[in-house]
Amino acid sequence: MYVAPEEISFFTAVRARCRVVGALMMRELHTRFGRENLGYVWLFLEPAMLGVGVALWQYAVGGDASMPGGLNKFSFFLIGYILFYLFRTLVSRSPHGVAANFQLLYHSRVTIEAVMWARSLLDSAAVAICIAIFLFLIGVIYGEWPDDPLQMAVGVIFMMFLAHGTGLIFLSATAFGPQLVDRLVHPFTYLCIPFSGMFFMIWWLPGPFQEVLLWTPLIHIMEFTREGQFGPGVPYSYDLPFLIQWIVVLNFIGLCALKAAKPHLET
Amino acid sequence: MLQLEGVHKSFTKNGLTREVLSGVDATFLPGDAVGILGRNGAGKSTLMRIMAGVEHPTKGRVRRRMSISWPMGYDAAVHGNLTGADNTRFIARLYDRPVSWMEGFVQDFSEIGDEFREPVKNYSAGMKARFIFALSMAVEFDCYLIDEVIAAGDARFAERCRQALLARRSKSALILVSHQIHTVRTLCTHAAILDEGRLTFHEDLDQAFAEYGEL
Repeated sequence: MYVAPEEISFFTAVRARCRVVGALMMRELHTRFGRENLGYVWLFLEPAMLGVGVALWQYAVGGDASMPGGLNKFSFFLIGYILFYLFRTLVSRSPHGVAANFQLLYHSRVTIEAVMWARSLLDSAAVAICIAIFLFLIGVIYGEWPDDPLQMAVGVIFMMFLAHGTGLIFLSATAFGPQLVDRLVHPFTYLCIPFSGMFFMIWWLPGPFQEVLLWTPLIHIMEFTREGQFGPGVPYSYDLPFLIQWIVVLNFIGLCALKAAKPHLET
Repeated sequence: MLQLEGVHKSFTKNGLTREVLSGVDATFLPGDAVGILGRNGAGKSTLMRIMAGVEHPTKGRVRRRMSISWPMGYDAAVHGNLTGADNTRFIARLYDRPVSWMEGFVQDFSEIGDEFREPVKNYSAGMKARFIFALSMAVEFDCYLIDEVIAAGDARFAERCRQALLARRSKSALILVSHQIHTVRTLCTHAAILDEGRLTFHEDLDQAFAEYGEL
């Protein structure tokens, strides 16, 4: 009689996971954007429209007043908003992770974790491309090229991991009641705005505010990414080991919570 | 091998907890063809969903050491807004099958012709059943989970399904869930009865049917 293989090697398992996540990303592209009208372009257009909107508004309201440190006002708010948009979109869609994809879970290879990774990677790639396009346009129009694009890319990756961990926790919380979590997640992402550094930098603020803000993770990502964008000239405040601790702890809690919540999630 | 160890599953609705499965133990190996008989509401679909990995047991564990199909008989494995071809490519990527070969195989086997390029939601019920069955045959699972719906389609296609499943029986495990004795008899070598949240195995089909008849 045929004997089933008992265990597969670690790398085979990793490759299998990667294949599943890759297939899920392709499918997410098809189902979310389809082939009609602009299709995939919407993936970049959505953050781009919001980012340009916020940046223009800031530009108009600010009038002739120059920015502290003489930074380019438009690129400051544009890139800042798009980076925060990644956090907002991943976290606010996370409670629907299971319900929106329950058909996928009929495939035994598809796990909730893989579905969430596919989404996080896809949106992060879209945001990274969107930022790259705007950096190029800003470079062409204003002649201001990013100081260290690689550092900015790492900033996007930090944001992805932070949002992913936070999203896992929100998704797990839906075990207590999907509607409740859905109502809480939107205020949460709005209340994150003042902590995100989207509209300001740490050195603009008085000391006590700085101290409180630096306990939260989003601001570290924003400052780190802005250093890559504007380079030396203004002071940046971030603490990478502290940020990485936040990310690791959030993801760890998220995974544990998901494991505990799985039997109770509604499909 | 697909192994269930002390699987419990309960659902809480409106503050009431109802235990659907209370300690199911089972081991399925390639080559097994097991029919699971149970009355309506006995927890057959819950058991199926747990074996497929859609739902997770509240207590106990499920071990999968072979590839397991989606439970056939639900249309949940495919996405209605995507075309048949898109769905096929997704499943080919997911299960690491050659994409173009799989497109050809599914289009032939399901006999859906040009509608292959149409969104699945436009398919008739029969076409959809044929399409989903063809997909599962192309993947070549080690274990097929089958709901009785397959036996329901039109007679000619039901016969083709039966032949295809019998042909796979030497390599794969078949787990068929049904409340009809007839369906189990045509495909299975063993039977098990799901009653009051527990699964009892019978080596002998007739003995199982006799016991099922008394429930």
